Amino acid sequence: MNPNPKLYFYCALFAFLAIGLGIIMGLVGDFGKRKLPDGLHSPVLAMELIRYDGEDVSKILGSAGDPGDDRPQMIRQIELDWVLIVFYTILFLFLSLILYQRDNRRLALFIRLLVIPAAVFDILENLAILGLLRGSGDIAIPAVLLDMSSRDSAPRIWSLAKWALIFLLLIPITRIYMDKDLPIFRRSIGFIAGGLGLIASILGMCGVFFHTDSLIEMGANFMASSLLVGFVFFATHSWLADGLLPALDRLANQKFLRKLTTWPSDDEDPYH
Amino acid sequence: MEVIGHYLAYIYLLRVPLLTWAILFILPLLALPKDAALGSLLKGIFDVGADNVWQTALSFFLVSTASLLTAATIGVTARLIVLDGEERFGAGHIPRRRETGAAGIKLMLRVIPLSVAFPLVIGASYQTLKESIPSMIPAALIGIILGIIVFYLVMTLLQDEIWAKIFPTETPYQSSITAHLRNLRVPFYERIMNYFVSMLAGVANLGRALVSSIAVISPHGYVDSRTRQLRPRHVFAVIQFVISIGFYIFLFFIKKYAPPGETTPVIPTLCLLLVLVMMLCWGLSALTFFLDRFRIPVLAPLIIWGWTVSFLPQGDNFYSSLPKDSTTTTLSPADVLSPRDGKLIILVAASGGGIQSAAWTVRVLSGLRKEFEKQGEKAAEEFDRSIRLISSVSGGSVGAMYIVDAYQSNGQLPQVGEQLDYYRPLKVAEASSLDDVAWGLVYPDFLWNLIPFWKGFYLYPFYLVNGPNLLSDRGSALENAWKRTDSLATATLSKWRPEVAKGNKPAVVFNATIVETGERLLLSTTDFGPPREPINKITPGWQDFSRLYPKKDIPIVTAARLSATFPFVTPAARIFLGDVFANQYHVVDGGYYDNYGVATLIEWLDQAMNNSSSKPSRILILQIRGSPAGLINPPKGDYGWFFQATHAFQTLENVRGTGQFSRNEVELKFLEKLCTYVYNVPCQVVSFEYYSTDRHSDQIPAPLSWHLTPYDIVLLRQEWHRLCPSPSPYPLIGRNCDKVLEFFRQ
Repeated sequence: MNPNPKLYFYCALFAFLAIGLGIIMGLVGDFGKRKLPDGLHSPVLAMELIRYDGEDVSKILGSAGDPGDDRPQMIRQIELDWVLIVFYTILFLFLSLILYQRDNRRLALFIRLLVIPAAVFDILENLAILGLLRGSGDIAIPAVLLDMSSRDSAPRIWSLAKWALIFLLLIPITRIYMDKDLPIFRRSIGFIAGGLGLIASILGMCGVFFHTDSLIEMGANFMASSLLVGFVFFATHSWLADGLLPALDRLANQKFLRKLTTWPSDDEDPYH
Repeated sequence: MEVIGHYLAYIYLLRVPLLTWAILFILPLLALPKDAALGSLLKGIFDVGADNVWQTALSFFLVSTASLLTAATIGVTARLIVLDGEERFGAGHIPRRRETGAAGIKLMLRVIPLSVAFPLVIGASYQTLKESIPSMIPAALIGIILGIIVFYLVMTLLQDEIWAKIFPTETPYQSSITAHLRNLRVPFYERIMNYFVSMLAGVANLGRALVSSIAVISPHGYVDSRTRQLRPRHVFAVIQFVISIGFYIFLFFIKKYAPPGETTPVIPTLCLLLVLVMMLCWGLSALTFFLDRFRIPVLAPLIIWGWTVSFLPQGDNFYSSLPKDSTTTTLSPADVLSPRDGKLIILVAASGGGIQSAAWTVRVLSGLRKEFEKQGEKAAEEFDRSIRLISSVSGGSVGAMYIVDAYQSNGQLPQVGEQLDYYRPLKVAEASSLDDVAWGLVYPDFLWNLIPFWKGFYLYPFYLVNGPNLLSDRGSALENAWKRTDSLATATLSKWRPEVAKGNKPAVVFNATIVETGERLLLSTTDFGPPREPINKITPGWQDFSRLYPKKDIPIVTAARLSATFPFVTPAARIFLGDVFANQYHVVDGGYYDNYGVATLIEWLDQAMNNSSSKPSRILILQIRGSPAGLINPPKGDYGWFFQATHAFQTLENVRGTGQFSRNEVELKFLEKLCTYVYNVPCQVVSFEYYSTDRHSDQIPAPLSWHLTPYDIVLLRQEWHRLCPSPSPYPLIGRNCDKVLEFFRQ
C-alpha cells in the first residue's frame, strides 16, 4: 500500500521545524570557547553528559556570577529544547505512520515504542540540568520535578538512555529512505539520508556503549545531516515523483519563472 | 553506470563556473558569522558603507551590478559547456527543444548562477548596515534596486542593440523594452545608443573573429555544422564578455581619477574583487572549453605560462627610489640623542598587525599627548620632543609614518584637544586602503601578469624595458593611497633627516626583511653602525638601506609600504635603479624577523649610548603592540597525513610569534640591566597592548586587512579607555598611561 502523500508533507514540515529550531538554538547560544571534557565541542551536550567524578559545571559554563557565566544561556537552550522534543517526537510518529502504511508494521510499532521513552528521557535530562543550574536564572519548573530528576548520575544517565534510543530509532527509518523503486534522483537523496542515518546510528551507539562522549557528538552531527537531507527527501516527494527533468520542466512553466526561462535569450531563438 | 558517468563528467567540465559560483556563494559565510574562519581577513571586504548617503547608494549599486554581472558570466559560460558538451567533449546528452527537461535545464542555467548574487549583496548589506546610521538603509536599497535595473537593461536592451549592430540584416529579435525605447525615437537615446553600441559592437566583432579563428583549429562545439558559422550562443557570450570588459574599464577610470583621501573608497573592494573573479571566470572557462576536448588540464598551460614569464625580469615587482640629495649628511643615533643631553627620552617600538596596529600606534601616542596636554602645553611639548626614536614594523610603520609626519616645524605635534577621535593623524591612520590594494591587484597586477613583456615598455619618453610603468602594481597603489597629507606626498627619508637632527622630529626606523638573506633591512632617517664588510660572511642581522644604496633615497610611503608587505597582499619588491636586468634584493614585511621592532630599538640605543659623550637622564621604552603577544594556543584536533604534511609550516608560523616575543622579553630585561650597570641611565619599559575581549574573555580577532569597520574603531577606542580611563578621585585600578606620566614626574 502506498502511504498517504500528506504524511510526507508532515514529515517535511516537522523536519524543517526541527532543523530551523536547531539553527535558532545555535544562533542564540553565545557560549564561551572553553576546553570541554571528553573532547566535546558543544556545551549543551557537555552538560547533558556531565560526569560527577570531579567535573564541575563551571568548567563547561564558566564561574557563576562572572560576566562570562553561561548558565542563563544554558537555561535558554533548554527552553528551546522543550519545543524540539515535541517536534522530533511528532516527526518520528509520522515516520512510523509511513512505515505502517507501507506494511512495515513491526518497524512502525518499534519506532512508536522507542520514541516516547526517548522523549521522556530527554525531559528528565532537561529537568536534571535545570536542577544543576538552580539559582542561576529564572527557572519556572516546580522544585519537586527538579529533585525527582536529579539522581546521583543525572543528567548523564537520562542522556545516555535518550541517545541510545534515538540512535536506535535511526535504523528502521532508513527503510523509508532506501527505496529501490524511486526515480534515480530521489533514490540518491534517500540513499544519502539513509546512509548518513546509519553512520550516525553506528557512531552514536558505539559512543553510548563504550562511554566515548565524542563519538556521541559525532553521531549527533551525522544525525543532523541525515535530517537535513531527509527534509529534502520528504519535501520533494510529490515534486520529484516522476524524476528530476519533468520536475524542472514543471518549475520552468510556472508563471513567473517562465519569463526567466527565456530571459535574456532563449536558446531556440534565431540568434541567441 | 556508463550513462551516469557521462553526466558526472559535466561536474568536471563545469569546474570553473561551478567553483566560481561555490566560492562566491560561501564567501559571506566564511567572512561574516561571529566565529567565521576567515572573518578577520575578509570581513572588511563586505563593509561597503560610506559617510554619506550618495556614496552608500553608489557603493551598493556597484556591488549589486558587479554581483549580477559575475552571476551572468557564470551562467553564460556554464551554458556553453552544458549545451555544447555532448558535441565537444562526448559528455551526456542534454535535452533540447521539446525534449523532457529542456525548459527546466534552461531555467536552472539562469536561476543557479543568478542565486550567487543574493548572498553577496545580503552579506554586504548585513555587514555595512548593522554598523551604520538608519538613513543609510534607504540609500543602500536604492543602490541595490538601481543595480538590478541596470543589469536588466544591460542583459536585455544593450544585448539586443549590440546584436542588431553585428547582424543588421537579420530580423532582429528584440525585447519589449528595446522595442518600446526604439518606438519612442528619443534623439538622445538614439545618439547615445548609436555611439556606445557601435563601439561595443566593433569590439564584439573583433572577439567574434578571434573565436572563429580558434574554431578553425577545432570547430566541434563552436560551429554550427549546418551553417558553418559560429553558434549564436557563442556570439552572445562574446557580447557578454565585451560588456564585462566595458564594466572593467569603467571602474578603472572611476578609481584612477578619484581623489585620494581619508574618505570612504569610491569603489568598494567587494566590487573590485568580483570584477577580478568575473574576468578569471571568463578566461579560465574559455581555456577549459578549448582544452578539455584534448584532455589537457587547464593548469598545464597556466604553469607553462607562469614558468615562461618568470624569465622576464619585467614580471617582477619594483619599488621606486630617488637620487639622494648631495647635501644629505650622516646622522648617527648618538647625534639624534645629543639634543636631549641630561633630559629624558622615549624610544617607541611599534609592532606589526595591519591597519589595527597603524591605528593603535597613533591612538596610543596621540592619547598620551592628550594626557600631557591636561598638564599644560609645556608638558605636552616636552612629551613630543622626548620621543627620539620609533622603531616600527609592518602596520606599526604606517602609524609611525603618520605620527612623525604630523610633527610641526617647531618640533611639536598638533594639539589633540578634547576629541581624540577626530585627531587628524588618527583619522588618516584609520582610513581604509583595502580598495587601493584591490584596485592594484585587479588592474596593474592582473594585466601585467597577462602581458608581462609589455611591462616596462613606454612610448614617451621611449623605453623598451625600463619604463616608469614597471613600478605600477598593488604596492604602488597602496603607497598612493597613503599620501593623505600634502607633506607625505613628497617626503623622503633624507628630507626628514634635517628635522630629526634639529630635534624637531623623532628618528624613525621602518623595519623590513630581505628575502635572499633573511636580514632586517632598516629604512631609517638615521644611519646605523658600520656596514658589514664584504669579506665578512657573518651577518649582524641587518642591513642599512642608506649604506646598501648610498646614492639612493626613497619616499617615506615606500619605506612604510616595504615594512608592511603582508604576504600576498603586497608583492615582494626589489629596488629599481634604472636597469630591470640588474639583480637586487627583494624586500618583504619586517614581521618575518621581528614583529615588535624591539631588536632594532635595542641595537639603535646601544649604538647611541656607546658613541655619545652626552647622555639622557632616563630612558622610557614604549612598546606599542597592536595585538596580543605571547598567547598560548590550546591543543587542536588535528590528525592524519594532512596534518603531518603541513605541520612544518604551522610550527614555523607559531615559532615566529612565540620565539620573537620571548626573545624580545629576555633582551629587554638584559637592556634594563645594561642601562643600570653600563650606561648608568635608568631604563623603564611600558607596554600598551591592544587586547580586546568579549564577555567570555575570548580575544576578539583583529582585522588582518587594510580596513577597519566602524565596530573595529569602536573597539580600539574602548581599549584605549580601558588602558587609560579618565582619572578617578578614588583610583582602584592603576592607569597604564600613569606609568608614562609618572616617568616624567620623577
